Amino acid sequence: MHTLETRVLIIGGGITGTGIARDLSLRGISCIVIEKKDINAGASGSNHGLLHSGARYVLHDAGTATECMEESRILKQVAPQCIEETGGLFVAVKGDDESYIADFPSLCAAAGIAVNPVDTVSALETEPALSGNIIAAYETTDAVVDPFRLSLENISHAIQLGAILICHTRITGFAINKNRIQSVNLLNTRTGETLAVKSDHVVNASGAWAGETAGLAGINLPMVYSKGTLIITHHRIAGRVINRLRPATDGDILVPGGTVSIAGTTSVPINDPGSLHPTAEEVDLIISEASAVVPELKKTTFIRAFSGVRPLIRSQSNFEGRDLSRGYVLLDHARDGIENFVTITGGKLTTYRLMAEKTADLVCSHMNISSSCRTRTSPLPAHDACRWSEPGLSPRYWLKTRKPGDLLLCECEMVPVSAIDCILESMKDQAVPPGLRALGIRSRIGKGPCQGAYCSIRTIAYLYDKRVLKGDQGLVEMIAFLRERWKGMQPVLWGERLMHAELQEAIHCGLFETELQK
Amino acid sequence: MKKTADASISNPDIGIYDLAVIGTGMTGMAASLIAADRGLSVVQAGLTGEILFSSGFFDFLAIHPVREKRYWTNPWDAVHALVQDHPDHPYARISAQTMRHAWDVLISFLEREGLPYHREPDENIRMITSQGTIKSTYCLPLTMQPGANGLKQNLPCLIADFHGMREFSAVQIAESLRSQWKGIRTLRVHFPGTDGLTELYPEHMARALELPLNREKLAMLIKPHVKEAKLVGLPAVLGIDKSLQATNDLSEKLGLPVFEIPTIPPSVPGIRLKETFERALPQKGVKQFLQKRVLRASFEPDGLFRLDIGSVSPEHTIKARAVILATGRFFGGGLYAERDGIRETVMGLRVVQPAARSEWHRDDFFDPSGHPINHAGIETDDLFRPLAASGSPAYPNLFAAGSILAHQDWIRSKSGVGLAVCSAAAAVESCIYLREGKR
Repeated sequence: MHTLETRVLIIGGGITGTGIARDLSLRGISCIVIEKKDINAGASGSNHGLLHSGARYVLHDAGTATECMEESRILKQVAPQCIEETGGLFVAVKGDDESYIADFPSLCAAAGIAVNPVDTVSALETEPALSGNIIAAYETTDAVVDPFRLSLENISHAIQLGAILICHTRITGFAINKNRIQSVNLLNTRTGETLAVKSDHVVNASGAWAGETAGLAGINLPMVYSKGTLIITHHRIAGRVINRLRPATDGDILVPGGTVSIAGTTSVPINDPGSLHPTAEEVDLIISEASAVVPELKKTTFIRAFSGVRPLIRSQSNFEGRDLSRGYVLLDHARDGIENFVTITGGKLTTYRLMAEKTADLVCSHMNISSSCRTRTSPLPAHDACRWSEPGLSPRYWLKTRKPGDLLLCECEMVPVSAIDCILESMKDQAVPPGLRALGIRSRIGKGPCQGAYCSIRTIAYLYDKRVLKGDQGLVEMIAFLRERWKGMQPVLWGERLMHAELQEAIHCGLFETELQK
Repeated sequence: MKKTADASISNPDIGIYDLAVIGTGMTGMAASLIAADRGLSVVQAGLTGEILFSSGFFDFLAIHPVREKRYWTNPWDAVHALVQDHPDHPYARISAQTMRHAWDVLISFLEREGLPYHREPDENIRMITSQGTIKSTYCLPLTMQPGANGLKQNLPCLIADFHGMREFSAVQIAESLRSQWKGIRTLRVHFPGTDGLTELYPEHMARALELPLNREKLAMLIKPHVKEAKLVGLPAVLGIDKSLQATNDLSEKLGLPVFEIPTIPPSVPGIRLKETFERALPQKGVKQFLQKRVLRASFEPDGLFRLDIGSVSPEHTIKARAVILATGRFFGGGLYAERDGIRETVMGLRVVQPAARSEWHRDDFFDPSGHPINHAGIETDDLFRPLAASGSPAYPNLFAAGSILAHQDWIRSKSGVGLAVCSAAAAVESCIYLREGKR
């Protein structure tokens, strides 16, 4: 069995794990990130990409609200390439709780969050998609962040500084001796190869699977999960992040992102974070709630839905579902008898940097390293291969830089061959095997209105031409890709989307007989 | 036996036809063809039609039961088994004789019109696709047939593709088929006369290959690489109007059989079918209103249907003694899914459908039992007349045919064209039967 050595092993390739990898790398501490699927496979890749001003949490969670406010300010400084500073608008409509509306400015002020009242007429002028029934509006500093780009930039920078990323690899066990994890046993789920990592310290940043991971070390960490569903519109509906001005509940956020908008969310307690399917009922609930503020949502076309999971350690809170604290938890497992093991979980995309900082501080103190965090001020370098995940960026880039012979593989989102080449190159550094799903995470392939009907076919053909795919790998990739896309499409299939879905099935099952291939 | 519309006595502008066919997909075209052959005066209206999205293959029935993915070599045996298991399937309402007749009419028509097809009388044929998968079908264009033969006999084969044709990779086909068709070599060439072009589109390529000079150039590019190959495969772009001549010409120049491989729709074989029907049906006396839809259909007190036809507002009004609804499913526009239910778009007919949207689709795209929504559609009596909620025909002289029919899954059972053509033939027969019964 192959054995690697490093100072810190980080379990989980979401925003927390990649953020910690960069933080440690900037402190000159070597680390390896292992991820059982691919970057942002869990909650980091299935959220609305809202960079919170904090105003949403002023009622129940003032601490998180203040953290969000500070962290979003920092991220706008250090990672502007990942952020669209849209600004936000909190609006109430007729019938909403008037005492909350009245309390909102003082709650925000108490948390140190700047909000600016606007009259409803000018709110409607600047955001014509809003309902004529709005009765109050406040401007906030909410913004939008591309969570894929953020994680990819973090890991790219970490790799540049010497960190190692190993994807499609899960833990099979910890070798524990004398109250310390001596090594971690790993299995590559693609190749079946086993691997061991010896490290001074282990960080559990496996998000919804934090309990499972801790369990492998004999630590009981009961988790509770809440599922949140979101829907993506075919076109961008509002310029700013729209929040309903009421205590947080279902269907009260509309977040723009490039050329689309994302409406959400719902909150349903679940037992298994592994298989999340958005449902038709959840979609209908979001539409019916959110259309009170943005009536157009009743008529607009949705591209797909997706579900994410909000994980939390059970002991952390007496609340359930949406009222669970959005604060993060950093656990030092020395208290459980393992001296070189910590778990970081909970929290928000917005506060990932702070979570990484606190985790790295704790790990360093365990290892008696005196160092200070640099992510607060050090800009996150923009890597060429990381920009293709942003909606609406590819077309602008392609039109500006189009070179003869640079074929478009995706016409909906205008992803050219040169982008795929650039991403394939970066995937070598990330030790990610090339394929349609990995490209889907790193680009807009499969995310446009055709939801991959054509670009998946072109991309696979291209990967064969490059001799990257062999044998029937393309078919395997195609099947997995279509299955994954289907999860998102299925609950929003009506009208035109249903017509496209029928064509897709006619092509892949009717013509190619994909489902019958042996 | 050509017949044209009677002039209406009351309104000379309104032609009266024996039959109005709504829809210009495979079902509508087959219905018009068969009805015109039977001597009916026919008017046909519809938008572009799904025919453009045809791969060129004519499926009849290859898989039953869908859930078991059971493959049948003999489609007639498959039909027999299907009808036993699902008496409400449209095939259960069509006699074998009608089916055979329908196929004969279609195949001999296409042969006469220069688009010959190949079929084995009682056997499904296995053929490769541009994805490197193997597909079963009942009839395929003669230009594809050598490929089916090559697959069957595992002949050494050269597959060529073109720079800039993004949906077709010879390497993909060879790699994907490695275990099933050994001895495929690949070649990539520049399509003649496309210097400076980045993306190539199959239709443009096909039109270019109508010219002998371009075929000459292409043959010269391929010939040095033929070597031990016994046949050469190319994407289905070998001409539009005269695809057989183009393919034969290329075969002669290369000195070995050349065959076409179907590509992702909309594809050239679909264009060939569309252009053939649009050229030949008017010659048979069918009055076609293409790129037009039926904006309003009403059942008149005289027992005739009155149809207002146009793009946006009515441009033509006709009357018909019978109507065949061949408007297809969702992609074709015959059915439309609102968030809370499915409706039929032309007549507002009753649509048999699952109780709620959450039951339309399975969680897994490839669920072996298929998606329940694909069984939704128009329920008919044995004469293919749509049923009202009461269980009786909604109208005495309205028929439905093709994929709009309920209780079938043409995609998963591989029966698209068979369902289109056979139910069209059955609807035409019913229409004639009812007229003669009345006389």
